[in-house]
Amino acid sequence: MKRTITFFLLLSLLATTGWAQSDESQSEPSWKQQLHRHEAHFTIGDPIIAAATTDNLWFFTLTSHDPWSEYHPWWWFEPDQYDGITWSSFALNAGYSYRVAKWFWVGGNVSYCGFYKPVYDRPTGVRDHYEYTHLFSVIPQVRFSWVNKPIVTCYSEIGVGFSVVDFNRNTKSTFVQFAGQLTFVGVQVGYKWYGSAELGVGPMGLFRLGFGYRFNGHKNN
Amino acid sequence: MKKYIFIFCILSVFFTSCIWERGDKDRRPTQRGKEIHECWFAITDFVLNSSVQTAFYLNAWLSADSLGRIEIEDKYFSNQRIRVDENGNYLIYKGDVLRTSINTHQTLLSDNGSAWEVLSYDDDDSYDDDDDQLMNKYGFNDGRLNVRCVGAGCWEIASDLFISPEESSPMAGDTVSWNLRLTAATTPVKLSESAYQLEGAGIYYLGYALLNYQIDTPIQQAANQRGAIDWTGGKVSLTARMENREDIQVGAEYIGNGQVRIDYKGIKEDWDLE
Repeated sequence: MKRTITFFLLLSLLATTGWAQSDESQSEPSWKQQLHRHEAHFTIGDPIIAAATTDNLWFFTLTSHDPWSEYHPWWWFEPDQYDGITWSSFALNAGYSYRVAKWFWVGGNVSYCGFYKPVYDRPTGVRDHYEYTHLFSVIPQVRFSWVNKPIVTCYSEIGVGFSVVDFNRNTKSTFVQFAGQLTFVGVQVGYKWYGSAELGVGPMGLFRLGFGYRFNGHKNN
Repeated sequence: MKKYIFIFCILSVFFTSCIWERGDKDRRPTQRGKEIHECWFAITDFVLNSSVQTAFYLNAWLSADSLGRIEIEDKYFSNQRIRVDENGNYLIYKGDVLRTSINTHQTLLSDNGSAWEVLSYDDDDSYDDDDDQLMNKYGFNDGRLNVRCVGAGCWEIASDLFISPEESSPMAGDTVSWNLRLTAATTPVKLSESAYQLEGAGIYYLGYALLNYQIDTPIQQAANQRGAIDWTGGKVSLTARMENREDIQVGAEYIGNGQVRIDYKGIKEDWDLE
């Protein structure tokens, strides 16, 4: 009895699969005809990870205010200065992706995140110098899209690359460090021009908003 | 018009969202002078209101009759015990922890020529962390003070400290010392409520730095019931020193109403006396 049921199920599965393949090949166009293969995109993301990796995260920084500084004579003999507002460019990201398969993309991003802070002489209030940190990242990525509609695309991404950090805070220095970007969920809405929102972790931001342009696509007739 | 308002809103959101950190709040020109003065003030306040204060409480207790002693114990030694050891030293315990040992040499602090040695011990339960830091690091030689009555209503408070030759200090290998001269019309009991005058000069040892002070004009404390230091007049000059660094000069003038006028790099500003 069990053998009969198993045989019947397998037969049903084969028949269904065969019908589906036949149906797709004969009546539905290929994804290459439906979906664009190239896209260029621009996003802006929060600078939290970029700040954390360059010691600009104020609640995590080693240079935060020492509550004992008032009784700590060492500070008295340091330059009498105060920090002004730290400005951030946020993470500005531009990239390109190419759809290799319906669900698989390769591409890359370049990203910039900067922090700028004026430092003032306290007794005179005159600006003494500027401190800055520049973080340039190059991150090749692969994308796995799991909703592939002409108007809506949902995907996850992973990328590994490097960052060049250039900073001037007390001392000037430039160095290269590892950079990785993991996007848990990304959503694109639009046909040629689209808007996007992404949630992930990396120097491009934890949360990113942006827009992009798809090209070399073919509309299904 | 609507267009401009819209553009203004967009630009406002854009720029304010780009502020990553607000920066330092302490931007007043005399901030550093105020910090140096606060250090001197904290040490001096601690000297007066810990060891010296205990000495005056004990003097009041020794001067009183048996009924008066009970009253003083209830008021000033409420959770402490006074004991005398075999050498005649008065030992003040908090619980089972020895807080202070005072050698009175069988005299009263109000007696002209009396010289008391006051030795305070670390006690994590009785002092907060700030006081412990001051006690351990600054100005005291193992918590030992000498309080001498040098005239009617006049007491000299002094301490000295030998700095190890290995220590990174402008006076490594030397002895630094300081003194305060407290003058009052009557022998005080609770210093923070009594009227007195303070003079003195010396060096507080701050680890790898020194803080020289000179009271140029006697500091005046007004009698009050608030139980807090209320210096209404007087001037002190401070010089902070560290090896291979330029000296920092600060002037402080007590102007009453709980305020001090700090003179730092030629700029004068009033600050609350904290």
